[in-house]
Amino acid sequence: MPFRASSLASAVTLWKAMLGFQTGDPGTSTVGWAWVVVLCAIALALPNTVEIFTGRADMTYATPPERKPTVRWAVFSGLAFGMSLAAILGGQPIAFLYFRF
Amino acid sequence: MLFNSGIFLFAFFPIVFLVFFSLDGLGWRGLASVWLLLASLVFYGWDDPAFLVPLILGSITFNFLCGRAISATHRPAILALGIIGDLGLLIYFKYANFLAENLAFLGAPPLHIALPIGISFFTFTQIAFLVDCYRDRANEYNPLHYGLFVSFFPHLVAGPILHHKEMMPQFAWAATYRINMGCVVTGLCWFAAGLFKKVVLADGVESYASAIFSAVDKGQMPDFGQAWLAALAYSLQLYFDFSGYSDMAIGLALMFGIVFPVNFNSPYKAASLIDFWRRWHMTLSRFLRDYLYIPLGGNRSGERRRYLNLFLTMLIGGLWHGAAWTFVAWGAPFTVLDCWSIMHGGRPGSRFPRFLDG
Repeated sequence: MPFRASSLASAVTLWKAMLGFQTGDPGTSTVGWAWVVVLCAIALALPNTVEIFTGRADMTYATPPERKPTVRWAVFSGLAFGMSLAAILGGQPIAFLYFRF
Repeated sequence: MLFNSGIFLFAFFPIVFLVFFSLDGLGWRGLASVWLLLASLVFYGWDDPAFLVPLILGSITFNFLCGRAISATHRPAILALGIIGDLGLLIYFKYANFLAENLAFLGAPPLHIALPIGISFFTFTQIAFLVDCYRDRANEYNPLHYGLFVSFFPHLVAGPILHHKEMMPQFAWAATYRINMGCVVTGLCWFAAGLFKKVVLADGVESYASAIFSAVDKGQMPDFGQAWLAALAYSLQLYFDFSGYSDMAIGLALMFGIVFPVNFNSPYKAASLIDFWRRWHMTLSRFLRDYLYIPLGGNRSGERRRYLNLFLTMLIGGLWHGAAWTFVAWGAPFTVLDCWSIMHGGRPGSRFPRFLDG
């Protein structure tokens, strides 16, 4: 929470609400919660890109990937790239969060 | 310049890639290296070349000369000069505003110093180089390869934090300059996966988090559900944003035949808090371990000293992320929980929740 909040006061307000110490205007977004559920499922259930592209769970040190590209990779990557382009062409690019660090 | 911008995807990257491999095809490998260095400077200085390009060139030159002098003389004074120079630059640009804000009650004037993008990353990268020069662990001093190691555009602005030993040799290999279609296709797929994570997933959930944080900033009170939605949506936005960036950086480098270390390994699948920090921003954790925690004594000087070392490492890691009291409020509980989980980790009868055990 404090990682994103613009001030300590804002972070404390949100913490209090998360702990139920504060009542506010109800109006939670159903679509927002749907995003959270889908992204949680992706983050927790799917293999990460290192596992997919290298076949190994550990790549702490720089080593070239051993797997050869497959048709399935090409299809999924093409779809991912197409959807990304549609999103990029539909609006202004948003800077990466880590740029401010 | 952003990886997710049209100018990068449709102009900058294709031109850099084609010219780089064409130059080697014509037998001008040295020129290919110079081309990559120039392209990296263009990438870095895109928004404000008059400020950013001299800054990074000055930093590279200063550190390279310090490294050479340290290797030749092994004088600790030169190492200290180099590190003070690096940290001085970082403190000035990153923390001067924060210090001025907090010293306002003494009459300190407010400052408005712009933070140069990526300064935290290239500063840490170069401090590691200086320390290794002093330890006799740096064995290559080609200025062009050093410049590329620091400025190579896929990692320059948001990591991974690279180590000279795993990067500089790669710029010296002849194979790097010959196109490898396996690496190009794998790199392209890796980049596409990262781009999807960033622009579809992270940017998709961004509005749900930002709307609630912005409303709170304007004085509105969120309810229980909104507060939890804001927290979870932002956690996922940060996860897919950083994971996406790391994938794009790895994929871009791989297309040039350069292999980056992994920086992000499903941290939300971590089994404990300690495991989480081993999976999130792995190259920062590696830097802090090798160049701060272990030189401070690590866990070799008794329990109390170990916790002090851990506290200092986490504190500096937290402050690295930004100069604001919110980062202190974020880092302090993690420091306490890390110490506690190490204190109780793995011991029978630990009274601490299992998810915090190391």
